[in-house]
Amino acid sequence: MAFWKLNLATSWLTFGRLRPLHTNAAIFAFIGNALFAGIYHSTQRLCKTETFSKTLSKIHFWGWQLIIVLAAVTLPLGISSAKEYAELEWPIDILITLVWVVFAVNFFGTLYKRRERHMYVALWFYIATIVTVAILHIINSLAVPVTLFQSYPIFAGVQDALVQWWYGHNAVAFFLTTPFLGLMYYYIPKAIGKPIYSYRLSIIHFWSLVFIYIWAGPHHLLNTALPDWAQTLGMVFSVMLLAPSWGGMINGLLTLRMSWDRVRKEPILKFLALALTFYGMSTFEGPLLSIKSVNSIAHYTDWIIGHVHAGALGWNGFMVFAMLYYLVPKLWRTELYSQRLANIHFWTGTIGIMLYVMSMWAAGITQGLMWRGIEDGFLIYPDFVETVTKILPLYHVRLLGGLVYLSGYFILIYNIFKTIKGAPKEEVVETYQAEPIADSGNDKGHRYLEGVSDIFVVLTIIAVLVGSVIEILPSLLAHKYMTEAPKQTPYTPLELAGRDIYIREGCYTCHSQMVRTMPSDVLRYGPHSTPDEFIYDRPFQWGSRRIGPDLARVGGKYPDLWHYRHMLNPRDMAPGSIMPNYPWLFEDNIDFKILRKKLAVLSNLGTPYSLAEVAQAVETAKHDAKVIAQGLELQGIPKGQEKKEIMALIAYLQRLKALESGAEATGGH
Amino acid sequence: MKAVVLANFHLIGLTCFALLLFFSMFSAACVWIFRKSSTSLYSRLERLPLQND
Repeated sequence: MAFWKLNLATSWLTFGRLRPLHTNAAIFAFIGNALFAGIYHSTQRLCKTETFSKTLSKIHFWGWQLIIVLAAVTLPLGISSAKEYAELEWPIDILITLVWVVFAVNFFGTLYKRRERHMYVALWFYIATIVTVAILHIINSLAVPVTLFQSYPIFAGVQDALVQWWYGHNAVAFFLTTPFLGLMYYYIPKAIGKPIYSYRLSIIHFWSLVFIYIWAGPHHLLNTALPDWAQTLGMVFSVMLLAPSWGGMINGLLTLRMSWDRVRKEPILKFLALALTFYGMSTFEGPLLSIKSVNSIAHYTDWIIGHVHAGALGWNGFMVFAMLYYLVPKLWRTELYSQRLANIHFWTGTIGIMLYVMSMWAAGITQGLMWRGIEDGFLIYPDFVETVTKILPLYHVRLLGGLVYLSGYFILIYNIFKTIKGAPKEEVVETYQAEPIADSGNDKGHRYLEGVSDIFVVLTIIAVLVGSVIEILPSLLAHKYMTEAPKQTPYTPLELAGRDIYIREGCYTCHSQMVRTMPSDVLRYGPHSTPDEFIYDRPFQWGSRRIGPDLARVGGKYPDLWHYRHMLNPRDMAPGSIMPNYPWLFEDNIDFKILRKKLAVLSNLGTPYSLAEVAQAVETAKHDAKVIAQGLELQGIPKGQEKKEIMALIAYLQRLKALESGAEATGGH
Repeated sequence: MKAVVLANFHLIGLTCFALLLFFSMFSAACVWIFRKSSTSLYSRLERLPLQND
């Protein structure tokens, strides 16, 4: 990203296309595969039985790897639904659902055939993960297909934003947190050979966490056009989240404290201690960032990038490393090849992640303070690109930190490879089957509940749904935005084509489309955004980061020629910019033929296109593109450009205005 | 700074609702798990991970 020339003027190497691949790979490939391994290993032992079906396990494994391969192919090609951490298009979404069902059947099947009456707390966290991720994924992925590679979500604008961040935040909660807490409650006692410090605290931890976490999504949308009440609920519950999070972290650390002398020597315990420390740091930082005042500085900045990497590489990463160093020697019935290499991995990982996180903290706070710098009613740094070039050295430090952290992976791989290679060759078939459970019939209340997985699942779903329903349902039922905003008009066919190019290129990964209510945002960009502006936005494009300026008011700010030259080489118009060149937009033709179908799908979803507008979509788009091209030709641009994608993108960018003027400008370029 | 932060908690009714909801949940969980009869059960449960390998 900091070295834009490395894009090599190739569409599939731009930051906008690679960033979704990066986040999906980190979450679903790295962390996903690790959590599945840990869940399969620990569940069999906690249930004292073998996995329900080895065939389902294989389908789960290969199905998940297929999803990862499909993500690695489709995202660089620009096949994206542009919803963060859920960018994969509808056929892959269906595949994810099917593979998740296979996982769920296999897990619950194992629970039903278990030879231990009670379910240890780790299993509760796994149950919460499986049911909640299923709910989140299905609801957030609801969309109507246009082609095999494109769909439009059934939610629009503010509703889409709320649903997306309800999903996005809880992907962090129930994919990156709850399963790893379950793994923590299993592997820390195993690693030190002593039970968890307080089993009671783990129960409070579980119920508090699953109940509160689901409410916190709106903290990703503070100071935006989201209704104030939803922002307040998101903020308050996020602050309260500190209590259960730290309860769990303290429980883990106090367990390790029982063998504190060993923590100094054994790399597995070091990784566990550091993972818990990062969990504590991240779960302190999260509530802090959710306070509106702090969020007004941090949101859209690299501070958030530092925060998520502290969680993903610090908490999840070190937990995975600890688990692997514990598991591999156990599974291959041998000793770890080198404790010394594991210690070196620990220190490279620690130094790498600290360099990474601290550089992002510094970059984020610098950005946040520069953006809001106002003196005598004027912005101190009105030129956005100045706030980017200022932090470039910190991007270089981040690169260094990332490389140091990555070097630890190679040490891990070498150590694991040598461990497996040096293991005894004879194969030992293990069985974990214990004696069948004798029916005591005396259990009541929570004791009974702890032994009945289906009732437990229902209670977990209720705990999760309370927050979801209270926060999301009112927004979904509120049609007032649709009826009280007659000034907003649907996108013209050419603007729609441009919007889909904007989505394909992942512009939302660097540019927001949300002028917040803060004075510094209004001074820099114009009137703050309102909910009715977005009623036809499927998907919404508010973004979550500003490496480039907000684009909600870019329409009419510059002439068409400016956009034309900017996309050809951004540095011609904004010296110092790190945005890549987009030469293919000047070579590839607009797909006019599909426009009629796109308008028809959007019409079915509620966008008020008339039958005539749908029928004339192609002709209208070609006409509008020709008008733009003719205007540019008068300014010296070569002829024959009216079919090129750049025309559609210019039409879309020029449409992005505050509602009053935006409404007047639509319906023709 | 304090005034700025507090100004963002202006929907006080909602804030109270959220706090009470969480506090009720938290208190109920505490009362339930600290009942006297549960000690032996939790002593056994906490050792489950250590029972086999």
